Amino acid sequence: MKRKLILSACALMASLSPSALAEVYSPGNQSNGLDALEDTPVQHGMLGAGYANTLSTNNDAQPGMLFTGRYFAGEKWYLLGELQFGTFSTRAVVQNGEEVRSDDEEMLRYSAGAGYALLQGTASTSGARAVPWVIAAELTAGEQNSGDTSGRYASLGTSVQFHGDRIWTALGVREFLVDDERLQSLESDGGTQWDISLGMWF
Amino acid sequence: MIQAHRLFTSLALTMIVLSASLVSAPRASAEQVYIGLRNGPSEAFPVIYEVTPRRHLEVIYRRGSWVKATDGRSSGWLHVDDLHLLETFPRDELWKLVNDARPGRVRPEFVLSSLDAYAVGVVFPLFSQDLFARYTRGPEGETSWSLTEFGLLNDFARPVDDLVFSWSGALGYGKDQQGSRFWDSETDDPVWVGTAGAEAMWRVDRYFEIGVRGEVATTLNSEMTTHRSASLVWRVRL
Repeated sequence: MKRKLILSACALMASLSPSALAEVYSPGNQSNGLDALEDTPVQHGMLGAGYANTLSTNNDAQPGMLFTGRYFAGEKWYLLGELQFGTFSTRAVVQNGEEVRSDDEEMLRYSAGAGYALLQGTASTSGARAVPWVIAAELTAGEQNSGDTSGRYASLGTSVQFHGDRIWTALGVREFLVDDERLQSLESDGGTQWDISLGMWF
Repeated sequence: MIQAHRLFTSLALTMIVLSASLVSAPRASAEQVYIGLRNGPSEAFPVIYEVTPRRHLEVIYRRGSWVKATDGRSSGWLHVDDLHLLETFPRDELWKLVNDARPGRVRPEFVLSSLDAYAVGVVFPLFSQDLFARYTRGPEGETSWSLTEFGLLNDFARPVDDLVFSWSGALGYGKDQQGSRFWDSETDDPVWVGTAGAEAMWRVDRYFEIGVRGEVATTLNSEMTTHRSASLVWRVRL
């Protein structure tokens, strides 16, 4: 009996030897090889910088810098983020003996929204080279700081874009409103902005 | 009479032979298929270049579900779903592009609420459920407040392909700021807030959704301050 037990133990030990273990089927994850392929470069959106001009009611035209980011959300839709800064006032306004707007106020605006390509087509002058163009409607909402006061900002406008292989350029026009009480009292809480931008893809 | 019978027989035989030859004869030539490459990544852009299915094209880059392809001389845009028409295009690269262009389940969102607040958040999958994290900020001034919440989003109806109805439940942390009494009438201390809502989201583009949401938020303290809101929601599928 004891001998049989020892023989069984020896057989078990032999079966657990490394060579025997190596023959045990142990499946692993199989790869289809797609991960080994190089990723195709992806264009996510457009980054741009440009010149913006703001013409508020009861105020002079004010220049500024505009930085934009557009993230493609489909064939026609994109998300839009904007940052604009520049002068807000170069002429003081006094009401009832009190200066309600000074002659050196700065403006900072940031807003986000969406754009929708209303028209898309191709422009060509020579016929040898064709440049895609897009006319888009853009709606944004955000905040505008003007001098020492601020208010919520909303705009609706259009953007005409020409898309090159490496760079793009755009012309934009929009109507805007700011719910800043001080600007409302000055009747300068709305107006028109236009901008010209140049940018690249990312 | 016999001549007429012979004439009729020969005519009938000729017709039968002709019909048989028309049925069995192979077509003279198959119609040539051309694949149009567009000037931009949308069907609204015109086709500027056509290639045969055997033309060797290389993909330069992808934008959404469109790829820009070139044969070395000319280039144009092609939808990833049309890549299989190119007989020489590598199948593994094709499937990788199709897979990469598929909309993901991670969805950043931007919300405008009837409480004069805006919110940013993200919906993300975890264990086959959609969870979300969101930060809501009330207006500046005497009623300034914020809410940071984390919750579950669950679809319950899809009447058509692009429209989804969902309910949501979340637990958050509400905070009054600048002396506001939005959440708590006595202190500025943060309070736990529970929210429940329902939303309808419409997928307007491959990676983009717009929708509306109704929500009720209640503080989980003895006051149980409740706020109801309706919101506009924009979501992007990454």
